[in-house]
Amino acid sequence: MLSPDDIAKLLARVALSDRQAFNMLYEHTSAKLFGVTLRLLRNKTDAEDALQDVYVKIWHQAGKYAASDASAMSWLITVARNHAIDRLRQGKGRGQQESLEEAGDITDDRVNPEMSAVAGSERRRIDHCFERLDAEKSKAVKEAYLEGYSYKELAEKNEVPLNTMRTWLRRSLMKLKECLEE
Amino acid sequence: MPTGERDDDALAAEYVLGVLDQEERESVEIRIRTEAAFAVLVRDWEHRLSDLNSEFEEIPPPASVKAGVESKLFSSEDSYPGFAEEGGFWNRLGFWRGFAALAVVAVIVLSSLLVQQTDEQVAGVTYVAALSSGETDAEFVVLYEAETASLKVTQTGGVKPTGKDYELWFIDGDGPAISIGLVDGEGVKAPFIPDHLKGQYKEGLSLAVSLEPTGGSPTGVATGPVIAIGKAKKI
Repeated sequence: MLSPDDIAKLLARVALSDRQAFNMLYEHTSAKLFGVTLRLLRNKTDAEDALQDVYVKIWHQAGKYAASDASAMSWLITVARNHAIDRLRQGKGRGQQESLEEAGDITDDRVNPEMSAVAGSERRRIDHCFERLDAEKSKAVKEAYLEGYSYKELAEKNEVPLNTMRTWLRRSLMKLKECLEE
Repeated sequence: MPTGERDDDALAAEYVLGVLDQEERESVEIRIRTEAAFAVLVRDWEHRLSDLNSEFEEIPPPASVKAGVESKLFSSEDSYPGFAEEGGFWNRLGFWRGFAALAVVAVIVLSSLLVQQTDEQVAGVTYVAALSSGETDAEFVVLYEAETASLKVTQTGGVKPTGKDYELWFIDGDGPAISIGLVDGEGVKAPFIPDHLKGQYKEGLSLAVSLEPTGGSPTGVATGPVIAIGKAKKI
């Protein structure tokens, strides 16, 4: 397992078109980024296809990482998430509306208590802030981030008008921000 | 925080969360690129929500994904190291169209010139090949007279870099490239077709010139970039 610093160094070398560094970066980060594209797109073929595009982007945009002050891994995950979300919004993935509920069930099964506990130890700060939100609003924010749901999809799932959903989420996000800045 | 800023902050949060539709995402992306203050709001939200990243599991992708990435990024370089170029030199249709047209014209013009010059020698079947790449300005014409097995190589374009030699290669179908000597070479390095290859010198045979260290490839296979290539044509 590479340290965050090692990944940042690899990214700097990739920015200089170092293929060996790119191979190492792929070896150490592709499982995490595949986890991202697979969770958001929920279709193996789409997720594999998206992951290829993500690494092509990383090769070409590695120089941009230097300009951000994010951790290297967060930057890579942002590239993967943004690409997967763009695919979803462009209708290239998760095309059938009927598969949404099915896929939702799979996700609920996957977040078992044991896994939550492991993940929780790493992100206590944000968990504590999520606990201050109403359960359904907390769930909506997490689902949007982790599953890639749009306002439209969230409104349908929660059976509320789109504008209500928008107001809910905006308020919840601002509460989260206040809590995180305490 | 004034209302406008608060709205921008909420918009940045919505963008990072991923809930906006495509049109809204695109307009936000333009603002990220053009408004530094707005880009900072987005970056701060990316940082805030990044704590959730630990919920993404690690799932190793199949090996085919890496192969696909490599073919998208590097396939042109791997197949022809001499022509490493973004966009895939060997895949560019324009190149092949231009090259084919150029080659045909070159063969017709140059062969007629050379045939006139060597009219007395050309008794039996004669082959001509115009070698070029479109990528470098090096061009050669190779004339081969089957009856006497005489080979004549003339450089018609480009200048040889100092400390390098041009080496001529004979490529029959999918077979390995066989060195047939140095262009401008003397003695044993002079280009000639060995007896066992004479029967293989035929229409469609490929000839190529590579750039090699002085004295030619030390290994017997082309080590430098191929700078010109062409096919033999019966005239």
